[in-house]
Amino acid sequence: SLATPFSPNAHLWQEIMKWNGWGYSDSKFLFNKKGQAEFTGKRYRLSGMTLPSLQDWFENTFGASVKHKSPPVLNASAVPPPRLNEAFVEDLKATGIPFSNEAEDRVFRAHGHCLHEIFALREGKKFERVPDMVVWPNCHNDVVKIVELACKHNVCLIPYGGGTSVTSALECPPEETRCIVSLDTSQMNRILWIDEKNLVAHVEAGIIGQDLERLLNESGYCTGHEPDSMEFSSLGGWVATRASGMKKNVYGNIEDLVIHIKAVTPRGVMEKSCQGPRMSTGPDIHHFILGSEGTLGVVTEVTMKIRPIPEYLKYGSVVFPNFEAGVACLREVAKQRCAPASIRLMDNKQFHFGHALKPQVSSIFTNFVEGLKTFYITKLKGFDPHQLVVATLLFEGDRERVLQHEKQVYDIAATFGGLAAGEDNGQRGYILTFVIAYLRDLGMDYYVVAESFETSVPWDRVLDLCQNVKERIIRECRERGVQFQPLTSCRVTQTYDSGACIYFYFAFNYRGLADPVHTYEQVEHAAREEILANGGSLSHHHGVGKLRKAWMKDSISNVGVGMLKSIKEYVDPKNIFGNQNLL
Amino acid sequence: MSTVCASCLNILVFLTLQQRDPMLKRDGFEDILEERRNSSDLKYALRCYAPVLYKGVTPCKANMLKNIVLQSDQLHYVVNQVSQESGEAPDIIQEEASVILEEMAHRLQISTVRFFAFALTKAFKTLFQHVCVNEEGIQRLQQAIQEHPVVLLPSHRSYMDFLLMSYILYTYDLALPVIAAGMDFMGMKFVGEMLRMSGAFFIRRSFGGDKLYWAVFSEYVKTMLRNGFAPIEFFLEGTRSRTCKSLTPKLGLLNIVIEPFFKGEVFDVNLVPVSISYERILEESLYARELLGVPKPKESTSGLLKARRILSEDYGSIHVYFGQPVSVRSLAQGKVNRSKYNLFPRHIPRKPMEETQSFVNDTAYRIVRLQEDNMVLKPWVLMASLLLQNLEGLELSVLTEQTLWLRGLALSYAAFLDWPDHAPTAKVVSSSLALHRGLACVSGGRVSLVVGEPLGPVTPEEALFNRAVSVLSCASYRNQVLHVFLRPAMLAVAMHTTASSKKNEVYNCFSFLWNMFSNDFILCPGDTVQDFEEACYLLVKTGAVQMPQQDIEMTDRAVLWTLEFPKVVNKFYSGKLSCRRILSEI
Repeated sequence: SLATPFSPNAHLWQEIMKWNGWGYSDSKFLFNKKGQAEFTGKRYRLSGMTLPSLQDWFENTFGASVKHKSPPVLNASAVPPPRLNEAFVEDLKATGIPFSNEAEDRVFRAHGHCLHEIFALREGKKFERVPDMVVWPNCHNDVVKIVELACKHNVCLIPYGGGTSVTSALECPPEETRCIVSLDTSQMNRILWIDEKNLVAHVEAGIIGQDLERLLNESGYCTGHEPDSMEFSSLGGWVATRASGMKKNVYGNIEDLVIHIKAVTPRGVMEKSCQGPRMSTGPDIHHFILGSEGTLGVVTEVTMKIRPIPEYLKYGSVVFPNFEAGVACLREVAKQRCAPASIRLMDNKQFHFGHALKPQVSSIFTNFVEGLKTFYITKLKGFDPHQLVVATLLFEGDRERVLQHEKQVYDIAATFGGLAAGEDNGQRGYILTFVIAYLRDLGMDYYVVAESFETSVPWDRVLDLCQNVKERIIRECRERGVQFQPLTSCRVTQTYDSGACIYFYFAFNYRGLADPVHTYEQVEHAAREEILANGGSLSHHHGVGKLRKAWMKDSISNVGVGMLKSIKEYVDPKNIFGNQNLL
Repeated sequence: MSTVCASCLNILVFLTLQQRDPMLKRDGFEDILEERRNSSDLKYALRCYAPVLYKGVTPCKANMLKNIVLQSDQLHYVVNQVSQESGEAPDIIQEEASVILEEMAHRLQISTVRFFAFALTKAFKTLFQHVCVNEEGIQRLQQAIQEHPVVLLPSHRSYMDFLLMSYILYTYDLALPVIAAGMDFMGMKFVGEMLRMSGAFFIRRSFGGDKLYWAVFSEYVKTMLRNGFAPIEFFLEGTRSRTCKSLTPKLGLLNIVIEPFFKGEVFDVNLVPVSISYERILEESLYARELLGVPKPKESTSGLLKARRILSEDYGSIHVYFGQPVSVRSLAQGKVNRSKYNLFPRHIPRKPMEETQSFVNDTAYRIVRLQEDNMVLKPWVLMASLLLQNLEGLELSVLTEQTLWLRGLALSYAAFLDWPDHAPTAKVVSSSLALHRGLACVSGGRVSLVVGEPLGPVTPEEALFNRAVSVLSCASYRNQVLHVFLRPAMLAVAMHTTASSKKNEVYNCFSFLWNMFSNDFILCPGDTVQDFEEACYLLVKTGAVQMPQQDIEMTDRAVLWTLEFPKVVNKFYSGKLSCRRILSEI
């Protein structure tokens, strides 16, 4: 389901990636001359296909029109001149580590993928502050040298992995007067060794998710860590943000997967002395680095659990009469601890959205079968098409156990009124995950801004939280003069013993708004407030960055903030890692 | 004390007035009896009734509702807790809960509602000239019901109130409310059950320590609210005000209906203050007698039948004003941190946090003030005030003149006066006197209070008693206008008492009075400064007071008014003092 593998090289990578949007330059949605939506390129299953229902869905959902275009401004924005620290540059040259202060390289690493960042790029707005230079260390020792030089010359370092942050974590603090160096880990992308006896692999932290999986697959292994951004995000980034993967039910989240972390800080290198699977040696120092968001140092090497590639993989889906029934089913699955590798529940809006992305079917027969299915669910089973929701499933393991497991889950689903809805629907759900980010660019071509955000919440509050957050968004939009009904949609993407992870999509047509990004940000802020008031967390896996800093005190208490601050003060007293995230 | 300049202050006060009622301009009224007089009552009672509910939910049958409550986690928790404490088996406690619920729950039936629609139409047409409702308020309510769970909070002056409310909502095809009623009604054979079938649910007057009762009760109310099955209606004042003065609010039920918002179970709750004003109250003389110590007649069906003689009298008009829905969410913004509820399971009952308690208290006072603001005042209310200042009676012409003067003053203080258009004042005065001939009479050009109906010889005690009944009945009309003059009057008293023009000295005295009266009148907790400023604004606006710099001075024009005002407040003041004297002597 992933894009064609590609081994990135510093500049080549930049060339095949969009500079003002998501993902590969050759892959994008567009409305062709006939007004039909198309996904270009060859990398994805959806590539090269036309999507006949997308236009209707798009126009009806947002009140947008394919006639009203808002294309990006093509000339690259003016970039402030670099503030170089000459002494640092001299010393760096002596090490032979490659670096650059080309405008293009610097701007490429000045942002993540927050709406305001991409919007600014498209509008040709000037970034107040961008990195003054980029360095490409090739290994752990290079990083040690760079950090030493940065300390020596008081230069600000901002680690850069895959650049997929959605928390403003990569933005340069505008008040930073020192030279800012973007430390790009992309060249540290090797698997250094695989230990089959202990099922661990030692990997350089700059490796991109899809490369890691591909390389391990060659030896018959996988990590099973598949965040939605895995095509572009890096291992070091996962560690620095406490990432979560789609299949965490089998493999665990990043904190469960790492056995050993090597991190370079201004105080020196931090690592444990052994690879014992669990230790009682005071607070786990890995947890100072996990989620540190580049404020303490650079993760250079990670020892990670690996597993043999599963023998059998099967998608599935279940349709429920409504969201309440779906949530109740997921809760029961979690209670019985029989969650498949992945289980996700899309709400009704997302279900319809998924349908809008169905490619054109060539055979009349397929059409006929689809029609029959719809008839069965809505007419014979009496599901209201405006209420029904769908859960997508992914099972993994040996064939027999998968089939057994599948039956168990479907049996539970049946007690909540769920109907099995086939493998195709399930698989499509997961493909969607990878192309959905591309859709935001299409929206922005037609006056629609969109973003996603996530939280985690105890089971008993899931329904109320979803409901209240959606209502808050709609209300805030209305109060802030958004002329069109916004799209608010959510899905339960992970289940835990005591709660779930919820992912929201939020989009609106911004025609008639003077400052759509500002409006968007106000609404998102309100939505986050609502999440917190309803018992949700500040973040499940995106992190805090600079976007959600304001809530840290309320989230982890003053003492908690104080603890983190004292660690920062000890590890990095001169604030070399000065991206100002988190605290 | 704030040191804002006078003009800023004016704006500030004006804004706060506006905040209390965003329009400040009130809606017009529509007489709903008019149509009834011109069309078939039976047809009206049998017409199609299909109200829209919250988010289009389907109405919930009374039995289903009971099941939801009995099976709720909230109730299970308390059942187990009580079972552990008492050693009784959970089944038995659960059964007890079921009995409590059975005793409490409403059994709303559309047929009963239709019966009432028919019977009340007949009764209303004989009793009242008009039943006036602000239709814009109805439209706002209709909107609110669809968007959020709604709590109707009417003022409580008469037994009529809740039947009247349901009658109006039925008339406008709005969702019928479920109404919290005192257990007293249950004693009425047949009628109690009729009320139950028209949407009343019955709660015991006191159940302080009874955990199980509280759990059943609060879960019952919350279930209805969360699901938006029906608007909840109850009386913040807790009981009928016998004096027509708003009573200080009771918080129990308000706490219950607000909690689902704090716990995130609903997005918002809309509180709708409803002001019901009667030109003549059915219970007029009953109240006066009750206040004099004659026990309240027990609610009974035979009593009700006996009371039907009231059907032969004219009770003037009723005005029902549905206020602007108040969003609990907006009120709580910045005052209550909802995330404090995150660390405790939502189904376990807890005492409200201090922050919440003071919020609920504050909200309750604000709602009662909104009720007061939208209370329609009849000319008689002004006349009663004047008559009470002249117990020995006064010339009709003087009464007319002073009524007109008081009208002007009341209007400038934003009183909601219902004064007939284009009618000469003399006519207004005489028709008011005619309607209230049981209380005042004109003889030889002098107006005075009517004292009882001396059928044969009376003892001096009886004469005194009868006189007291008249004065108290009259006072209950005067009391309706108190909220209009209260703040300026307290300021006037404060100025007289301090005999100083220093603003902070006057304020200190005002603040003393404010605290002293805080249980007698509706003074929102913590609003002393705001009330002072409002009083200043009103007195300045009407030219009674000047406020140069830090001073506050009476103008020449003011002498008359400011002498009149204190009389009103002084009555309460001296009442308080004599009570204190008596108490200290005991």
